[in-house]
Amino acid sequence: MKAKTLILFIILGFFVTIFSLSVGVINATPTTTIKILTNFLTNHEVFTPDWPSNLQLILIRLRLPRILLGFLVGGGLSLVGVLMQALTKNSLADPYILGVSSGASTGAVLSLLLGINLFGYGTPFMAFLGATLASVVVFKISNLGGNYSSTKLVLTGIAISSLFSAITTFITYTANTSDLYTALFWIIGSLSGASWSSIKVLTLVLILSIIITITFNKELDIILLGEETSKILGVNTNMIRVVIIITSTFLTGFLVSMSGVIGFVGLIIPHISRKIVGSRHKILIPVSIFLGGFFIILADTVARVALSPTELPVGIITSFLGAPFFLWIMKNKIYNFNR
Amino acid sequence: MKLKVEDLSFKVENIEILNEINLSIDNGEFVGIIGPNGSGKSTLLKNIYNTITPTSGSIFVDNIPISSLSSKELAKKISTLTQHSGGDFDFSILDIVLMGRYAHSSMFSSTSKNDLEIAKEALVKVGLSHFENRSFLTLSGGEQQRVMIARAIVGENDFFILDEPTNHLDIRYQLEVMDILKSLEITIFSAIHDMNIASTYCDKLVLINHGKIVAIGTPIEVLTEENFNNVFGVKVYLSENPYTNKLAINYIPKNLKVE
Repeated sequence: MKAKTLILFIILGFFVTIFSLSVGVINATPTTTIKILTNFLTNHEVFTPDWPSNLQLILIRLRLPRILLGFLVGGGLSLVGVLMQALTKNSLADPYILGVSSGASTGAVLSLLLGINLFGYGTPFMAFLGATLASVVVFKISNLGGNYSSTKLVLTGIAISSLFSAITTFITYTANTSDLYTALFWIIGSLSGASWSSIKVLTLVLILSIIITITFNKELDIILLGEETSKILGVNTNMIRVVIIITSTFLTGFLVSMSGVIGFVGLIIPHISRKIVGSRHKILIPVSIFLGGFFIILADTVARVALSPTELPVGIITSFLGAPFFLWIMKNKIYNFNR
Repeated sequence: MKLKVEDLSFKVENIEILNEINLSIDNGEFVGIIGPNGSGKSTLLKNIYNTITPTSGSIFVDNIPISSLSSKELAKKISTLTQHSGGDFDFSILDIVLMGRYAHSSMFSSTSKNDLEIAKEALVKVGLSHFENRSFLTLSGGEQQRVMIARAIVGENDFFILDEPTNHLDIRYQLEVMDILKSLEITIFSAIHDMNIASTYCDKLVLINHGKIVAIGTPIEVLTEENFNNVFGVKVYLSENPYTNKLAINYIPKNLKVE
């Protein structure tokens, strides 16, 4: 990624952050927001507070973690989308459609209702387990590498996704009312559970995933040309497949354990990014992560204000935007992609 | 010796696709493999470029058994060109050609100046030097095939395996592609569909049918009326092209009424 593009994204990120911080049940002016943020970041009273103290609390304690979590979740889901699309050479692949998110969601809900704690990592662990189970089943059945077709893969994904959703619904149906609301959180996808500790963990996991995938950027480019061509050019396709599956399952597990199933991001964002910067992963990956992050921050802002003071889960907003977009792609076939 | 195939057999679910194939290719030879559809041409090539594994027998490139080489090591010995190997994704021509440098790169290295120079030289060789930033998907079939050849060239190997490199191309592009390949002066083993192309460009031909070698030799030795009749079930009239001094194959249809 060129320095110019990076600066552009950082500036864009600044505006998105200030906007999202300022808007909510209580609005702040952008100037006030910048002042509050500066004081927080420098840990000094650079600007003498001329705003109500609860405003600072709302911005820093409530909205800022959500924005950061939103960026990580949106970026992470977009990265998983890019990886899944490379793996399947299919533009319709994303963790949501391939059932991996639903598997993770089932795991997360189970851990909550059964009270699986595991030193505080019960939910991510179970989510990871669910994601693994779903991806193994999907790839086994659709026979990736053997006599595999992308149609079969997507259809298998839909079936597995429905199956896991049914399990989640069944579990929640039998749960008592107080657990129901928490379960709903994983089913629809929301950022309301944002905390600094989850942000720290997810930052680490995302950075690790980025390092791994950027290391293999040349291989990811080449596997888009197909299994045989990749082998001919010298790519160890089995190894790459394992790297992609493990990285994306691991990342999806963590993402879902923190935000639930936020749909369509992993599908829309890589598509738009491909349109802007082409298919080379060295550029596609960072651009997708930035755009995905910004998209979720803005979608969550809409989720916070749309029915203010009632808050919507961000998953509803992304699906509202994502489903029509998905249909529009199919109708227009605007991409020379997987004919 | 560049390539040696010893007692190669290949079965799929007990159906014999290749049966006891033995052949060798010397350095610098342009060898064509011909045979009817389903005779095992592509399967033989796939065994050599190692995307499928022989049921029995061995294959040596430069006297090294290919089963002992990783995909990356093999890609540094053989450049392969299959049918439809460009993909449907949006890459520039230069990107596609640079992928041919993969086997020469290490894990963390990015594209070097040297890689770029080699790629640009290859594009000059195939006559696409001004196209480097164009999208691969916007090219005609002939141009795409030339990009594929450039990608094979940047592998810097002196041995190419080609699976019907001129398939689906207009006759002008067929000749153009074959001319480029011939001008590289390397060892080539290529499946060829068109018999006149085979006789014009190849030093040696391998004729296979039902997974067995029927004949190996010069085009004149292999492309006989008898072989055409027995293997392809087609009557031919053979002559000499006075311009190329190569064998010309003229087909005689069974049911055509001549006035």
